Amino acid sequence: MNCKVVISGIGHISSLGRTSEQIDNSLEKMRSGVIAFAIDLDGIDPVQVPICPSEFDASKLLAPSKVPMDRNTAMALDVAMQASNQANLHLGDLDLERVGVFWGSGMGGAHTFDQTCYALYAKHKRIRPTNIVTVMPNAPSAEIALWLKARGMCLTFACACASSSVAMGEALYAIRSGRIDLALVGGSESMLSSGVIASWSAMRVLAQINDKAEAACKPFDAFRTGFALGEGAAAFVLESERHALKRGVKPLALLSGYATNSDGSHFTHPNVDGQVKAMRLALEDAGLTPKDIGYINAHGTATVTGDLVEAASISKVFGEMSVPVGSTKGLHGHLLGAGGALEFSIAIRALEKKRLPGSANLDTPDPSIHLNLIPRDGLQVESLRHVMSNSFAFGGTNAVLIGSSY
Amino acid sequence: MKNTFTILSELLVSDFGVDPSIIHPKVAVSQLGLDSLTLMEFVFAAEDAFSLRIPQEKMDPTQSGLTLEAICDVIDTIKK
Repeated sequence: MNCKVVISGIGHISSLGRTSEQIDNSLEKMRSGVIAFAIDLDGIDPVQVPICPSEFDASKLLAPSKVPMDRNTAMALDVAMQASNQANLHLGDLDLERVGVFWGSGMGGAHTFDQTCYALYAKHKRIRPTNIVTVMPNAPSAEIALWLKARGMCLTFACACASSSVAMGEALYAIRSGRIDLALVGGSESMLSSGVIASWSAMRVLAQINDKAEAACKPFDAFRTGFALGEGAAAFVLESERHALKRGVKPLALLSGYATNSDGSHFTHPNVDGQVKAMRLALEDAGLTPKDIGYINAHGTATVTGDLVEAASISKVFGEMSVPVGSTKGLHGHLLGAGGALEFSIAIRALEKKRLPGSANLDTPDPSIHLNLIPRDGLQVESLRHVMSNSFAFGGTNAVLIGSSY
Repeated sequence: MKNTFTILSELLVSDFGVDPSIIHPKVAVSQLGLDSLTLMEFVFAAEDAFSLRIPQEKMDPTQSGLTLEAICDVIDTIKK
């Protein structure tokens, strides 16, 4: 069995908004979610770093398990509910043995863990009895599965920045293989806690704030210095085309291709050969050629090396100055494990609206990058049929998703 | 000033999603839909709410038949 897999619902939480319309509007008007955060901790030189918090009140959600939720888990549950609403899921009508949950998160309950350690070591406060199950990386998928009462597989993927893309791709395989009919998939990340932010800052991958925080993250620009640390989540309802049509649901788009591989070369340094192979395998999986792709939402973290390597990889697969390429991280920041899911949702929205989001903060395109970078104003492309979203992670995991019009 | 039972009842509803209609002094906490882990979390939250600690020998949250009234009595005794 090798069926088509459709997207029938999407939900998101991001610094650009909660709904597709809000995110469209922020991307169109270049309204950035980036703000400056002052790291002010003993033992660390004070510094301001860019972060992208999302407006989200985690206290309004009660966990199906009744265990206190990390902010990451609450976000996951919220977007899963949003996606299910859009997909018009009626749990009583589903064969729950054939419903799965596939979730990605790079740092799991880092927010709670960081704050618990601070409270314990610095304030000598006791630890909650449920702390372990609150911070465990599979808490989001477990809460979603409890809420859905899903009894198919419930899996969590932790592959750094590729986590949610891998989760979505593996769900695609599970549905195609006939093991399940429907999956709630996506990713969430919330680690804007001082100790975690300071850890990322120590790695020197966060953008320098020279003037305004919102201008700090500059993907593919000659003067890029890194990314803004984001938080948020995105969820999709994926199901076999047959299952969606039987339920009487109009698919939003197809998840038509996926590939993942490992560079096998370095812990953190990206690799052209690995990325090229991943993009080619995804194209092959979707039965497409490079010329079919009308938009790439690049990984585009705005690190000096990351953008250079990804540009070389895209040029090798698609040719120089060919397919329109953009990174939306300049506005919503880097959501790490949730980045792939949020960016794929933006790519799917581009497919629906035939509108490619513009490149924020791209003032001086890097002359050594030979990509057809989307201008700041965006592009209207009426012929758009297929889009690609790249996620290239620390640890060497590459994941590429392809979406197509239904 | 709210009494102990009222404060615990509000906590059960707001933080643990317990149906208010099943909450009464004689109900066993195990019948409120909380498992052993969430019962411990409930006792932890109750201790925070009253700024006190319940010694383990005074109360075992997993003890069968432990009622809300019994928890209220333990808290009220410690409060004195």
